[in-house]
Amino acid sequence: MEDLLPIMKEKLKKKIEIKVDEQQLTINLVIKGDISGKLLYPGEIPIILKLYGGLREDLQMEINVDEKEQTIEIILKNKDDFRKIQVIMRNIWENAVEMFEELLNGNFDSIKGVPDIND
Amino acid sequence: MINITDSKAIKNNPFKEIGKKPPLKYSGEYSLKNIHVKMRDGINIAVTLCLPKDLKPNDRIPTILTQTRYWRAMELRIPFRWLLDEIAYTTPNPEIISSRGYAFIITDVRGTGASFGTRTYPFSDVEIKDGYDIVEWIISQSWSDGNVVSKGISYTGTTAELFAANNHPAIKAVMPGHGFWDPYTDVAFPGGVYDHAFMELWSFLGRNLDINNPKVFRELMPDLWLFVRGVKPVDSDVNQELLNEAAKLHESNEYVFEHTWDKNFRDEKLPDNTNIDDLSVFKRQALIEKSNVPILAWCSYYDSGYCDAMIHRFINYTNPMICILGDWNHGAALPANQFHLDRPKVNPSPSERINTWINFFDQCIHGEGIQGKVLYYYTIVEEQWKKTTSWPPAGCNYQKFYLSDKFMLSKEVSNDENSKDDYKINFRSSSGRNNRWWALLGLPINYDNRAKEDERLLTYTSEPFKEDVEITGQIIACLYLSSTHEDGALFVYVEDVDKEGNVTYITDGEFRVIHRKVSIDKPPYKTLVPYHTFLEKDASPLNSGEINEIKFGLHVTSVLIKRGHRLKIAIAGCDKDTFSRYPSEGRPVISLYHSKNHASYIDIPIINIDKRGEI
Repeated sequence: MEDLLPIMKEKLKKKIEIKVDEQQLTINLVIKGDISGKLLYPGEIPIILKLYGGLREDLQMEINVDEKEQTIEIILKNKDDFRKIQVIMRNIWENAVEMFEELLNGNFDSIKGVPDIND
Repeated sequence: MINITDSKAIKNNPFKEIGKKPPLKYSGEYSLKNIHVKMRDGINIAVTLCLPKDLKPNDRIPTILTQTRYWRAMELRIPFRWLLDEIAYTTPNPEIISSRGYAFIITDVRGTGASFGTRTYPFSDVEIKDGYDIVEWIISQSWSDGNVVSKGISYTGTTAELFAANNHPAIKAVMPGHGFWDPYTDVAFPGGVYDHAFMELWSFLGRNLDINNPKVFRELMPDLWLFVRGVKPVDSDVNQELLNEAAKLHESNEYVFEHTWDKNFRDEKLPDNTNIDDLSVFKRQALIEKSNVPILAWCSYYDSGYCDAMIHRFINYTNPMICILGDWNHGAALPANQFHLDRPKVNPSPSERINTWINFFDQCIHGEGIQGKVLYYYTIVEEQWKKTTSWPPAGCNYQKFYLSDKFMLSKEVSNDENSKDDYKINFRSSSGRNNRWWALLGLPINYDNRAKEDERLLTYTSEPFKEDVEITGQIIACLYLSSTHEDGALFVYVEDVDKEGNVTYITDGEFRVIHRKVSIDKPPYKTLVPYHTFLEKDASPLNSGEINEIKFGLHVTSVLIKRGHRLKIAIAGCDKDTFSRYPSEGRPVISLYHSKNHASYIDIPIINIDKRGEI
């Protein structure tokens, strides 16, 4: 893992394609290549938006998963919510990797502001 | 940081000297399988099997086994699950193990993770015996060449060491990292003082891992909380029904804290008519020696009492062995050298370490094995690896430094008939939560500049040293004291004071005064410090006003005190964030004597400068 850390952001960028459809208020995630285990568990998207994206509120969203095609469709209910998620998605994977690195280096303060979760 | 282009830095460095890395056998890509393997009594143990992807049908390879209680494999949160596999977090550098031609197997020990069964206490004979059944299963596999070795850190280090006690002919070597030898003195009751913080948190951690509940780890193990969904079920358990069934069974597990928090003595009973020694490695010494399996044991000076466990292994076992004592944290994920707190990365790197371990295994399986015993030790401040075949190392002589007037440490005994210092125990004193005991949870170790904390303590400081002096071994504290109370604890910190007055932690020792009787009985294993039985029958409460000799060993260290620096001893009566309070109520005043007839001292193992680093 130590070897992977410096290139993890880049790898995630290549691994996950994000397609945005403003008209349909939809964000599509396409996960490329092999993955280990289940593509997505119920409730996982809202949780990572809070954990790694800093989202503080519960937004209504519809999530459709195609395990075979490895795609996740996130449909927001209104434009404001769509914009919030769109902004978060721009660097959510980078944030996740940075938090991961901080914790591996023993800097536990880095997660002080992360809200509690219940999954 | 060691400059590895410096030949002096390479000399005696175990990570440069042990074995040789041969050409790689496989690409490093590997396949993973999660299955249940049935034990002799029908209990299913969860096993993750990692094999080189390019293993050919006729290839036969040896196996490295790790048996854990902290989940063998993890279901990560996204996006990490999309990028990393289930052992990425539990197994450092599996690609190295695979490329060097080993199968890797990691199991959830009975009563934990995705394994079935329950447990009353750790490291039971039943748990050890499961290792035998796992070996039988491994060598029956088509890809196995019939050789099995075991490695691990902390809990898994101990399971690796105890694995040898099975005396199975397929077991060729074991590699315990950062494990205890004697759980009473090394972790639960160092010096008879209860490590309340760790014991409680470790039990809390264990209980929640066993019921697959990582949600509660935000404070304790934030990495688990943030990145892990839970333990990985076996592959066939798509709906996690088996996992839920196993977790339900684990609800009846028992945990050490609930059986030890109110205990004091080594011989107090635990469940199933056991006592804490029944969990130990030393009680299985004869079985492990019978196997004559080569051992590579490694640890750090800064790790709990596990550093002393290294010395006990080295001086007690007859097995061929290599021991390594370095300057990192528990498990060597982080640097911990208190004189270089700014170091960003641990040295050696995880990949250097794993390659060294595999060099050792190669040597035991395919090479000439290991002969005799050698201990590699790193001298802090000198920043130099050394090695020795005897402990204490050649040239070691003890030099007494006496506590004296004006809070000085002196090489001369005072002529005064009655000199003493009174000290009212400050129950707010603490070595913090980044000390050698909290480190058992994988936390960074940082005692920081202790000048401020020392203001709460009773301290004695030497004159500046006139030349560099190497201290290597276990310092002995001998204190003559009286107290207003019949119980109490002593914490003795040994520190370096530089020319600017910065105070750097070197080592420490703790001791509960009711255990002070130095026994003349034969100890259960050889030890180099005053032997206290910690048995109930030997407990001796202090008589008010009476002067008592309290003599005990501190944790092993190897450090260079530089010319112009001073040695400082700081004495506390509690370490509030870590240990239980003794007495539980009241605020004792102790009198520490440094008179002609009651000359308190610390006895320091100093290495003759001409003999340093010799083998």
